[in-house]
Amino acid sequence: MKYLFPFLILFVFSCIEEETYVEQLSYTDSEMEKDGVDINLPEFKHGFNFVEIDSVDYINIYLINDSTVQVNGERFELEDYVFDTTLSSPRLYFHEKNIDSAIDIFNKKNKYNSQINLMIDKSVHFDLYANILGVIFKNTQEPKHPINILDINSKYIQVRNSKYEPGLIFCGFRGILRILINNKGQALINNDWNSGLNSLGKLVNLYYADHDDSDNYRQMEEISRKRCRTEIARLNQEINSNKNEDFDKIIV
Amino acid sequence: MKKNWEDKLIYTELIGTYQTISKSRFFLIKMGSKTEMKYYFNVINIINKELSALRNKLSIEKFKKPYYQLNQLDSLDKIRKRAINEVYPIIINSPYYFEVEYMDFSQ
Repeated sequence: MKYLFPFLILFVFSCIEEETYVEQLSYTDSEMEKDGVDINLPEFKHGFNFVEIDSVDYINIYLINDSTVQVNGERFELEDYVFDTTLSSPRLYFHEKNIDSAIDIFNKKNKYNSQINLMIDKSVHFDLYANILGVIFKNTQEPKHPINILDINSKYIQVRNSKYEPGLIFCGFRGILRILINNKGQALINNDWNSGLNSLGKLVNLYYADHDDSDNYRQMEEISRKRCRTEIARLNQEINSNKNEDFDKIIV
Repeated sequence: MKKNWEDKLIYTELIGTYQTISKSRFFLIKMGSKTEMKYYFNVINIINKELSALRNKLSIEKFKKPYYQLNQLDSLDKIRKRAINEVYPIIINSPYYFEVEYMDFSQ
Protein backbone atom coordinates (compact mmCIF):
# COMPACT_ATOMS: atom_id res chain seq x y z
CA MET A 1 0.00 0.00 0.00
CA LYS A 2 2.89 2.30 0.94
CA TYR A 3 4.33 1.83 -2.57
CA LEU A 4 1.00 2.36 -4.32
CA PHE A 5 0.34 5.77 -2.70
CA PRO A 6 2.48 7.93 -5.07
CA PHE A 7 0.87 6.25 -8.08
CA LEU A 8 -2.56 6.95 -6.62
CA ILE A 9 -1.71 10.66 -6.20
CA LEU A 10 -0.42 10.78 -9.79
CA PHE A 11 -3.60 9.10 -11.04
CA VAL A 12 -5.83 11.61 -9.21
CA PHE A 13 -3.91 14.59 -10.64
CA SER A 14 -4.02 13.20 -14.18
CA CYS A 15 -7.80 12.91 -13.91
CA ILE A 16 -8.26 16.61 -13.08
CA GLU A 17 -9.33 18.35 -16.30
CA GLU A 18 -7.03 21.12 -17.23
CA GLU A 19 -8.87 24.24 -18.38
CA THR A 20 -7.03 26.34 -20.87
CA TYR A 21 -8.36 29.64 -22.11
CA VAL A 22 -8.76 29.67 -25.87
CA GLU A 23 -9.49 33.00 -27.43
CA GLN A 24 -12.68 32.79 -29.43
CA LEU A 25 -12.43 34.08 -32.95
CA SER A 26 -15.39 36.04 -34.16
CA TYR A 27 -14.24 36.24 -37.77
CA THR A 28 -15.94 32.98 -38.69
CA ASP A 29 -18.95 34.66 -40.22
CA SER A 30 -20.44 32.14 -42.63
CA GLU A 31 -20.92 34.89 -45.20
CA MET A 32 -17.24 35.74 -44.98
CA GLU A 33 -16.32 32.14 -45.69
CA LYS A 34 -18.75 32.04 -48.56
CA ASP A 35 -17.26 35.10 -50.21
CA GLY A 36 -14.04 33.19 -50.34
CA VAL A 37 -10.51 34.04 -49.68
CA ASP A 38 -9.24 34.58 -53.13
CA ILE A 39 -6.85 36.83 -54.89
CA ASN A 40 -8.03 38.22 -58.18
CA LEU A 41 -4.92 38.90 -60.17
CA PRO A 42 -5.14 39.73 -63.86
CA GLU A 43 -5.78 36.61 -65.88
CA PHE A 44 -4.56 35.87 -69.37
CA LYS A 45 -4.75 32.93 -71.67
CA HIS A 46 -1.47 31.11 -72.00
CA GLY A 47 0.49 32.42 -74.96
CA PHE A 48 -1.48 35.64 -75.20
CA ASN A 49 0.53 38.20 -77.13
CA PHE A 50 0.65 41.89 -76.64
CA VAL A 51 -1.11 44.09 -79.08
CA GLU A 52 2.02 45.76 -80.34
CA ILE A 53 1.40 49.46 -80.56
CA ASP A 54 3.39 51.09 -83.30
CA SER A 55 5.04 53.52 -80.96
CA VAL A 56 8.46 53.67 -79.34
CA ASP A 57 7.07 55.09 -76.11
CA TYR A 58 5.72 51.84 -74.75
CA ILE A 59 7.44 48.89 -73.17
CA ASN A 60 5.26 45.82 -72.87
CA ILE A 61 6.32 43.15 -70.41
CA TYR A 62 4.33 39.93 -70.16
CA LEU A 63 5.13 37.43 -67.46
CA ILE A 64 3.86 34.24 -69.10
CA ASN A 65 4.76 31.78 -66.38
CA ASP A 66 7.31 31.35 -63.60
CA SER A 67 10.11 30.87 -66.09
CA THR A 68 9.23 32.92 -69.18
CA VAL A 69 9.00 36.63 -69.77
CA GLN A 70 8.14 38.40 -73.00
CA VAL A 71 9.47 41.90 -73.53
CA ASN A 72 8.09 43.75 -76.54
CA GLY A 73 7.39 40.55 -78.44
CA GLU A 74 10.69 38.82 -77.63
CA ARG A 75 10.68 35.91 -75.22
CA PHE A 76 13.29 35.14 -72.57
CA GLU A 77 13.72 32.24 -70.21
CA LEU A 78 14.10 33.09 -66.55
CA GLU A 79 16.07 30.01 -65.66
CA ASP A 80 18.87 31.67 -63.75
CA TYR A 81 18.06 32.51 -60.21
CA VAL A 82 20.39 34.31 -57.86
CA PHE A 83 20.44 34.60 -54.12
CA ASP A 84 21.21 37.97 -52.62
CA THR A 85 23.34 36.95 -49.66
CA THR A 86 23.91 40.50 -48.46
CA LEU A 87 20.58 40.37 -46.63
CA SER A 88 20.13 38.84 -43.20
CA SER A 89 17.90 36.21 -44.77
CA PRO A 90 18.57 35.52 -48.44
CA ARG A 91 15.90 36.44 -50.92
CA LEU A 92 15.26 34.89 -54.27
CA TYR A 93 15.62 37.09 -57.31
CA PHE A 94 15.17 36.09 -60.89
CA HIS A 95 17.82 37.03 -63.39
CA GLU A 96 17.43 40.68 -64.16
CA LYS A 97 19.61 41.25 -67.22
CA ASN A 98 16.93 40.36 -69.76
CA ILE A 99 14.59 43.12 -68.83
CA ASP A 100 17.38 45.49 -67.76
CA SER A 101 18.24 46.25 -71.38
CA ALA A 102 14.62 46.93 -72.24
CA ILE A 103 14.25 49.30 -69.31
CA ASP A 104 17.47 51.06 -70.43
CA ILE A 105 15.91 51.78 -73.79
CA PHE A 106 12.83 53.01 -72.01
CA ASN A 107 14.86 55.40 -69.84
CA LYS A 108 16.76 56.81 -72.82
CA LYS A 109 13.55 57.85 -74.46
CA ASN A 110 12.68 59.78 -71.33
CA LYS A 111 9.43 61.07 -72.67
CA TYR A 112 6.67 62.19 -70.44
CA ASN A 113 4.07 60.04 -72.15
CA SER A 114 6.13 56.84 -71.90
CA GLN A 115 4.68 53.98 -69.99
CA ILE A 116 5.32 50.40 -69.01
CA ASN A 117 2.58 47.86 -69.49
CA LEU A 118 2.98 44.81 -67.35
CA MET A 119 0.77 41.83 -68.03
CA ILE A 120 0.87 38.82 -65.80
CA ASP A 121 -0.51 35.33 -66.09
CA LYS A 122 -2.56 34.07 -63.16
CA SER A 123 -0.25 31.08 -62.77
CA VAL A 124 2.72 33.26 -61.87
CA HIS A 125 3.70 33.25 -58.22
CA PHE A 126 3.08 36.57 -56.50
CA ASP A 127 6.66 36.69 -55.24
CA LEU A 128 8.00 36.69 -58.79
CA TYR A 129 5.48 39.36 -59.66
CA ALA A 130 6.76 41.51 -56.79
CA ASN A 131 10.33 40.90 -57.93
CA ILE A 132 9.68 41.99 -61.50
CA LEU A 133 8.13 45.18 -60.15
CA GLY A 134 11.21 45.63 -57.99
CA VAL A 135 13.47 45.40 -61.04
CA ILE A 136 11.32 47.93 -62.88
CA PHE A 137 11.31 50.39 -59.97
CA LYS A 138 15.04 50.05 -59.52
CA ASN A 139 15.75 50.75 -63.15
CA THR A 140 13.25 53.43 -64.05
CA GLN A 141 14.89 56.76 -63.44
CA GLU A 142 11.82 58.88 -63.78
CA PRO A 143 9.14 58.08 -61.23
CA LYS A 144 6.64 60.11 -63.25
CA HIS A 145 6.42 57.31 -65.82
CA PRO A 146 3.28 55.39 -65.00
CA ILE A 147 3.44 51.61 -64.79
CA ASN A 148 0.22 49.96 -65.77
CA ILE A 149 -0.69 46.44 -64.87
CA LEU A 150 -3.25 45.49 -67.44
CA ASP A 151 -5.85 42.83 -67.15
CA ILE A 152 -7.72 41.19 -69.97
CA ASN A 153 -10.60 43.66 -69.78
CA SER A 154 -8.24 46.62 -70.14
CA LYS A 155 -9.08 47.77 -66.67
CA TYR A 156 -5.88 48.39 -64.89
CA ILE A 157 -4.13 48.95 -61.63
CA GLN A 158 -1.63 51.77 -61.77
CA VAL A 159 1.47 51.56 -59.68
CA ARG A 160 2.68 54.79 -58.14
CA ASN A 161 4.79 56.16 -55.29
CA SER A 162 7.08 53.22 -55.53
CA LYS A 163 10.65 52.97 -54.42
CA TYR A 164 13.18 50.22 -54.31
CA GLU A 165 15.57 49.44 -51.51
CA PRO A 166 17.73 46.34 -51.28
CA GLY A 167 15.61 43.62 -49.76
CA LEU A 168 12.46 45.69 -49.57
CA ILE A 169 10.12 46.49 -52.37
CA PHE A 170 7.54 49.11 -51.61
CA CYS A 171 4.81 48.92 -54.17
CA GLY A 172 2.37 51.76 -53.92
CA PHE A 173 -0.33 49.84 -55.67
CA ARG A 174 -3.38 51.82 -56.45
CA GLY A 175 -6.41 50.04 -55.11
CA ILE A 176 -4.57 47.47 -53.05
CA LEU A 177 -4.62 47.74 -49.30
CA ARG A 178 -1.37 46.13 -48.33
CA ILE A 179 -0.97 44.85 -44.79
CA LEU A 180 2.28 43.32 -43.63
CA ILE A 181 2.48 41.79 -40.16
CA ASN A 182 5.74 41.02 -38.41
CA ASN A 183 6.32 38.40 -35.73
CA LYS A 184 5.41 40.88 -32.96
CA GLY A 185 2.00 41.50 -34.44
CA GLN A 186 2.92 44.98 -35.61
CA ALA A 187 1.38 45.98 -38.90
CA LEU A 188 2.83 47.89 -41.80
CA ILE A 189 -0.20 49.26 -43.59
CA ASN A 190 0.42 50.91 -46.92
CA ASN A 191 4.09 51.36 -46.05
CA ASP A 192 3.35 53.08 -42.73
CA TRP A 193 4.36 51.39 -39.48
CA ASN A 194 2.84 54.12 -37.39
CA SER A 195 -0.71 53.62 -38.63
CA GLY A 196 -1.03 50.32 -36.73
CA LEU A 197 -4.00 48.01 -36.58
CA ASN A 198 -6.09 50.64 -34.77
CA SER A 199 -6.38 52.68 -37.93
CA LEU A 200 -7.12 49.68 -40.15
CA GLY A 201 -10.88 50.13 -39.72
CA LYS A 202 -10.67 53.67 -41.01
CA LEU A 203 -8.54 52.56 -43.96
CA VAL A 204 -11.02 49.80 -44.83
CA ASN A 205 -13.76 52.43 -44.93
CA LEU A 206 -11.66 54.61 -47.20
CA TYR A 207 -10.94 51.60 -49.41
CA TYR A 208 -14.65 51.22 -50.13
CA ALA A 209 -15.38 54.93 -50.25
CA ASP A 210 -16.24 56.78 -53.41
CA HIS A 211 -13.34 59.03 -54.26
CA ASP A 212 -11.55 60.44 -57.24
CA ASP A 213 -7.82 60.38 -57.48
CA SER A 214 -5.88 63.53 -58.15
CA ASP A 215 -4.97 62.57 -61.68
CA ASN A 216 -8.55 61.75 -62.63
CA TYR A 217 -8.17 57.99 -62.56
CA ARG A 218 -11.46 56.84 -61.19
CA GLN A 219 -11.34 53.62 -59.22
CA MET A 220 -15.06 53.26 -58.65
CA GLU A 221 -17.14 51.68 -61.35
CA GLU A 222 -20.69 52.92 -61.88
CA ILE A 223 -23.27 50.31 -62.81
CA SER A 224 -26.58 51.57 -64.13
CA ARG A 225 -29.52 49.90 -65.88
CA LYS A 226 -28.65 51.69 -69.09
CA ARG A 227 -25.07 50.45 -69.02
CA CYS A 228 -26.13 46.87 -68.27
CA ARG A 229 -28.57 46.87 -71.20
CA THR A 230 -25.94 48.35 -73.54
CA GLU A 231 -23.38 45.72 -72.51
CA ILE A 232 -25.87 42.86 -72.90
CA ALA A 233 -26.87 44.13 -76.36
CA ARG A 234 -23.21 44.44 -77.36
CA LEU A 235 -22.43 40.90 -76.18
CA ASN A 236 -25.49 39.51 -77.96
CA GLN A 237 -24.31 41.17 -81.15
CA GLU A 238 -20.82 39.69 -80.71
CA ILE A 239 -22.22 36.21 -80.10
CA ASN A 240 -24.40 36.47 -83.21
CA SER A 241 -21.56 37.72 -85.41
CA ASN A 242 -19.32 34.86 -84.20
CA LYS A 243 -22.05 32.36 -85.05
CA ASN A 244 -22.31 33.83 -88.56
CA GLU A 245 -18.53 33.62 -89.04
CA ASP A 246 -18.55 29.95 -88.06
CA PHE A 247 -21.37 29.36 -90.52
CA ASP A 248 -19.39 31.05 -93.32
CA LYS A 249 -16.38 28.86 -92.58
CA ILE A 250 -18.47 25.73 -92.89
CA ILE A 251 -19.82 26.88 -96.27
CA VAL A 252 -16.30 27.60 -97.59
CA MET B 1 -19.55 37.56 -69.30
CA LYS B 2 -23.12 38.05 -70.51
CA LYS B 3 -24.39 36.32 -67.38
CA ASN B 4 -22.44 38.85 -65.27
CA TRP B 5 -24.18 41.77 -66.91
CA GLU B 6 -27.56 40.06 -66.65
CA ASP B 7 -26.96 39.62 -62.93
CA LYS B 8 -25.90 43.25 -62.63
CA LEU B 9 -29.10 44.30 -64.35
CA ILE B 10 -31.08 42.43 -61.69
CA TYR B 11 -29.07 44.18 -58.97
CA THR B 12 -29.81 47.60 -60.45
CA GLU B 13 -33.52 46.70 -60.42
CA LEU B 14 -33.17 46.06 -56.68
CA ILE B 15 -30.88 48.84 -55.52
CA GLY B 16 -30.77 51.27 -58.44
CA THR B 17 -27.59 52.65 -59.94
CA TYR B 18 -24.65 51.70 -57.77
CA GLN B 19 -20.94 52.19 -57.55
CA THR B 20 -18.57 49.38 -56.83
CA ILE B 21 -14.84 49.01 -56.56
CA SER B 22 -12.81 47.61 -59.42
CA LYS B 23 -12.42 43.84 -59.44
CA SER B 24 -8.67 44.25 -59.59
CA ARG B 25 -8.61 45.70 -56.06
CA PHE B 26 -7.82 43.48 -53.14
CA PHE B 27 -6.52 43.27 -49.62
CA LEU B 28 -3.05 41.85 -49.53
CA ILE B 29 -2.04 40.43 -46.17
CA LYS B 30 1.52 39.21 -45.81
CA MET B 31 3.18 37.83 -42.73
CA GLY B 32 6.71 37.17 -41.59
CA SER B 33 7.68 33.50 -41.37
CA LYS B 34 7.56 33.66 -37.56
CA THR B 35 4.30 35.57 -37.32
CA GLU B 36 1.56 33.74 -35.46
CA MET B 37 -1.66 32.99 -37.33
CA LYS B 38 -3.73 34.80 -34.69
CA TYR B 39 -2.47 38.13 -36.08
CA TYR B 40 -3.77 37.19 -39.53
CA PHE B 41 -7.18 36.39 -38.01
CA ASN B 42 -7.08 39.64 -36.09
CA VAL B 43 -6.66 41.59 -39.34
CA ILE B 44 -9.42 39.56 -41.02
CA ASN B 45 -11.63 40.29 -38.03
CA ILE B 46 -11.13 44.06 -38.32
CA ILE B 47 -11.79 44.03 -42.07
CA ASN B 48 -14.89 41.88 -41.58
CA LYS B 49 -16.23 44.19 -38.86
CA GLU B 50 -15.96 47.27 -41.06
CA LEU B 51 -17.30 45.46 -44.11
CA SER B 52 -20.31 44.15 -42.16
CA ALA B 53 -21.09 47.67 -40.95
CA LEU B 54 -21.06 48.98 -44.53
CA ARG B 55 -23.18 46.09 -45.81
CA ASN B 56 -25.69 46.49 -42.96
CA LYS B 57 -26.01 50.20 -43.63
CA LEU B 58 -26.79 49.63 -47.31
CA SER B 59 -29.16 46.76 -46.53
CA ILE B 60 -31.16 48.88 -44.07
CA GLU B 61 -31.27 51.74 -46.55
CA LYS B 62 -32.51 49.58 -49.44
CA PHE B 63 -34.36 46.67 -47.82
CA LYS B 64 -35.24 48.00 -44.35
CA LYS B 65 -33.37 45.24 -42.55
CA PRO B 66 -29.73 44.57 -41.77
CA TYR B 67 -27.59 42.39 -43.99
CA TYR B 68 -27.21 39.61 -41.44
CA GLN B 69 -31.01 39.22 -41.24
CA LEU B 70 -31.32 38.52 -44.95
CA ASN B 71 -32.25 34.87 -45.20
CA GLN B 72 -30.03 32.84 -47.49
CA LEU B 73 -32.83 30.29 -47.98
CA ASP B 74 -35.28 32.92 -49.19
CA SER B 75 -34.82 33.40 -52.94
CA LEU B 76 -35.43 37.18 -52.87
CA ASP B 77 -33.17 37.72 -49.87
CA LYS B 78 -30.50 35.62 -51.57
CA ILE B 79 -30.47 37.97 -54.57
CA ARG B 80 -30.53 40.97 -52.22
CA LYS B 81 -27.45 39.59 -50.49
CA ARG B 82 -25.71 39.09 -53.80
CA ALA B 83 -26.54 42.67 -54.78
CA ILE B 84 -24.97 43.99 -51.57
CA ASN B 85 -21.94 41.75 -52.05
CA GLU B 86 -21.60 43.22 -55.53
CA VAL B 87 -21.46 46.75 -54.11
CA TYR B 88 -19.09 45.76 -51.32
CA PRO B 89 -17.04 42.85 -52.66
CA ILE B 90 -14.22 41.40 -50.66
CA ILE B 91 -11.08 39.82 -52.01
CA ILE B 92 -8.44 38.83 -49.49
CA ASN B 93 -5.46 36.64 -50.12
CA SER B 94 -4.93 33.49 -48.11
CA PRO B 95 -2.12 33.64 -45.50
CA TYR B 96 1.03 34.48 -47.35
CA TYR B 97 4.47 34.57 -45.85
CA PHE B 98 7.23 36.83 -47.02
CA GLU B 99 10.86 35.86 -46.91
CA VAL B 100 12.45 38.94 -45.47
CA GLU B 101 11.90 39.66 -41.81
CA TYR B 102 10.81 43.26 -41.47
CA MET B 103 12.62 45.40 -38.99
CA ASP B 104 10.89 46.49 -35.83
CA PHE B 105 10.60 50.24 -36.40
CA SER B 106 8.84 50.92 -33.13
CA GLN B 107 11.99 50.54 -31.05
